[in-house]
Amino acid sequence: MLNSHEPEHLTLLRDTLRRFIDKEMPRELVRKWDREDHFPTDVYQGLVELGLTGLTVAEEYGGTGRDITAMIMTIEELSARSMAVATGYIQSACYAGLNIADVGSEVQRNTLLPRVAADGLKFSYGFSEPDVGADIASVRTTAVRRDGKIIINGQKRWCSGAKIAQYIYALVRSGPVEDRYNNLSLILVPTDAPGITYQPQATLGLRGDGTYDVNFDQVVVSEDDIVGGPEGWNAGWKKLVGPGLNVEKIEVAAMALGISRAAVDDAWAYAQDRKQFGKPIASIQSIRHMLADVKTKWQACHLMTYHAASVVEGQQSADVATAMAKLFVCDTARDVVLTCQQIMGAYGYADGFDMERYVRDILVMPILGGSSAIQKNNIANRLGLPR
Amino acid sequence: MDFDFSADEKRFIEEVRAFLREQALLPDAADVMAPNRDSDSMLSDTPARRRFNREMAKRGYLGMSWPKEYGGSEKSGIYEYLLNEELARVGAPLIGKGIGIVGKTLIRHGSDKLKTEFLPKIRNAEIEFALGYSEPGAGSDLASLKLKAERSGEGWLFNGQKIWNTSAHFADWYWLAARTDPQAAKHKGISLFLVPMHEKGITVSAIHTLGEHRTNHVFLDNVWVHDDYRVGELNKGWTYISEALDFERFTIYPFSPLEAKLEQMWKHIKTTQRNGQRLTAVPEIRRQMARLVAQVETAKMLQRSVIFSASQGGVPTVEASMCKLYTTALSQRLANTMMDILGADGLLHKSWPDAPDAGKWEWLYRSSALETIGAGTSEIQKNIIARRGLGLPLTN
Ligand SMILES: Cc1cc2nc3c(=O)[nH]c(=O)nc-3n(C[C@H](O)[C@H](O)[C@H](O)COP(=O)(O)OP(=O)(O)OC[C@H]3O[C@@H](n4cnc5c(N)ncnc54)[C@H](O)[C@@H]3O)c2cc1C
Ligand SMILES: Cc1cc2nc3c(=O)[nH]c(=O)nc-3n(C[C@H](O)[C@H](O)[C@H](O)COP(=O)(O)OP(=O)(O)OC[C@H]3O[C@@H](n4cnc5c(N)ncnc54)[C@H](O)[C@@H]3O)c2cc1C
Repeated sequence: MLNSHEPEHLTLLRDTLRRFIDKEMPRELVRKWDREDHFPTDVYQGLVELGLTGLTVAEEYGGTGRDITAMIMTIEELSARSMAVATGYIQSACYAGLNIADVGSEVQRNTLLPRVAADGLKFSYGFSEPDVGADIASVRTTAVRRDGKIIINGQKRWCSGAKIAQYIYALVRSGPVEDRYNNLSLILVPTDAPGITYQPQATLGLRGDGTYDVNFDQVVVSEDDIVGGPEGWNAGWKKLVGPGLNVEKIEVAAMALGISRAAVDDAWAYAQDRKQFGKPIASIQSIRHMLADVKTKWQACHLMTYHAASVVEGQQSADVATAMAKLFVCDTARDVVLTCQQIMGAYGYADGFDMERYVRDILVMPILGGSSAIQKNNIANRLGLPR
Repeated sequence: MDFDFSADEKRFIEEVRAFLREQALLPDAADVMAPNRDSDSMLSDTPARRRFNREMAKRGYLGMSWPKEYGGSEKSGIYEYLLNEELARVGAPLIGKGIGIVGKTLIRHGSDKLKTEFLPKIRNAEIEFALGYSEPGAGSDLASLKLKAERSGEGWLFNGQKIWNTSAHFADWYWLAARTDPQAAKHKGISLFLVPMHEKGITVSAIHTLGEHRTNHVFLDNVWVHDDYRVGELNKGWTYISEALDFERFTIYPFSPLEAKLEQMWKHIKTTQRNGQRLTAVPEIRRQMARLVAQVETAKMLQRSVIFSASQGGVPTVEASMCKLYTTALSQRLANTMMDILGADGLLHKSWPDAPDAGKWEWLYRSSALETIGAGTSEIQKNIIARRGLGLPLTN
């Protein structure tokens, strides 16, 4: 659904993306990637060549200058076709591009950002651990600094895309337990460093990018791999919860927006094709109302996501707008997808139709990037509701 | 109003529970009883499952409501319902297709030849059936089915296709609905047949689904069957299909899995801490659990009203529709709520060693999607309630 006052460069971007997706990411292939849990490197490189990973990188580093709305649009469009490609894109433009620009050292900006823009360099987030979910300040993976080297030990869980990334952006405990929040560092661990092992996790959705249990056994990196350089030691928490968190919330909303749009489009078309009782089911009022409902809800999701993106761009305080967008869009998109599945009857349940994949992919959205319950807490707190 | 079961019914429940406890000790028990996968064991053919079914036959649990002359014990249908409740509670295969749909239709309408040939085998758990109703173009509007049956010598020649036929890849016989009079009104030109599943011309191809159930697409290409295998009168198939559904409705939606899931959720919540806080102390979780407990109780009452009506000799079509509409949506709500409570760990597939409750909730989120579709979608149940319950006219 195009916005009537969308700036021209965004309309052009959307057209470019749709052309690319139609040509390089046909549904048949996308289904195959999902079935085989395959990441299509060549298609991803095509996106990089279009300059899309550079949407978060300043011109001086070879990008096109940070454009959050364009980045969100890219995520939405890719997610409407393939989460494998969308998550790969996020690993580069968002995880690598945004973080290094915001909290990397001068050296890291100079060496890594050009690689984001030109090669699509990717990070994988290593925050969660087997017993550490929403409360990530209590991570147990440790880093010790010795003779200019950093030695890492511990285990990360839910490391999405670890195998296709060049670095794990790992949150580790580098100081004493009692120094809560001042004992954490972010480290760039090369994914091929000796001592790392990967165990793929079996989950219901987001196939193609893969998610892993990652084990660090005496993994050695250099001080220059501390995010922000040697001064970043024990300063990880501030880097983690900076403005980047707001963007992350709307990245997830944009994925949910894309998946649910695909579901709505499929159900909309299916209802017109499918005939029962001598007429298309689209002529049955209850089906028409379901479709009217999902279109309306989707539109609300769309508005909230792009509104939050514009608040982020406007440099205003975006904590509440992004939390509301994350909460509303992810929960609503899940309802929308499940309604669309119902409209397709048994065909929404069978392999070979895309609907069952949307159902698998959408579920994680209310959980990722700060769960719905966490967003509700954030909203009430940020709006100053007295306890 | 007393919704409780009679003394003999209660004795029967205890007897079945004892039987199932015994069975649970056998080495192959895990293949038959899968409480974490509902009655998934029903959908695949394993030696354990066949053995278990034969054991049920030996105990006289198959055909309890059948007349004595066919080896039954002429008990009320409630006993079959109670048996299914207990089977469902432990995730064992339910009875229904052979004993209920095929068996009871044959008893009421079948020829002597068909009764003699099939009833003993059904009662002894020697054969498996697949139901061949749905077609690519005939889902909710089942009466529009097109699969052709044409006279050919002493029998019938079948051509066409069926879809979503569960068990067709291991069944021995096919309970097939076909169009025998293309000129008649759609409800008046359908007949039922029994066709050997391995007959020449039948091709079964797998459809895999979101819930990891295998179901099938079945193609029939000049399949021939003798007229002896036509069930009941010609062109009366639709009546038989509807009648079987009416009689079966109350045995096929057991309530116990809902209760078991709620108990399992309770157990998890009572024994789990998150970030140093007991889950029982989290206000959001307390609220959700309170709501679900009330809803599960409502489901139980809806289920009881179905049984009550049946026990009074009624045909509880409308009650059953209400019950199905409510309980299937509730089952999805239970799964979704538990997924919210579990967070990311809830997404782990059963193949992952420390998936909570052996991946039950993740699987339920996927598989429960079927519940509001199969055996009459939620929208169709609402239509039944409106038309047959409230007497509202048919509209478009
Ligand atoms: C497919 C997938 C990919 C992922 N990829 C990555 C990745 O690449 N890198 C990474 O680091 N992490 C990743 N994650 C982890 C994700 O970020 C975590 O799931 C998230 O941080 C929440 O943690 P948790 O699920 O363990 O929830 P928990 O903290 O265990 O919480 C479980 C439930 O409790 C609720 N809850 C928690 N705290 C509160 C509270 N204070 N008040 C009310 N309710 C509360 C939550 O809403 C949730 O419903 C991924 C997860 C998944 C499923
Ligand atoms: C796993 C699985 C196993 C199955 N096993 C069997 C089996 O063993 N044998 C067999 O024969 N069949 C089987 N079925 C098929 C099942 O019975 C059909 O899926 C069901 O009848 C619905 O038909 P449909 O899927 O074609 O949906 P459709 O009828 O095409 O419905 C599509 C949508 O339109 C709605 N709709 C349709 N008509 C109306 C109306 N009049 N008013 C309002 N809304 C309406 C529906 O509710 C639904 O939302 C199985 C299905 C599945 C998924």
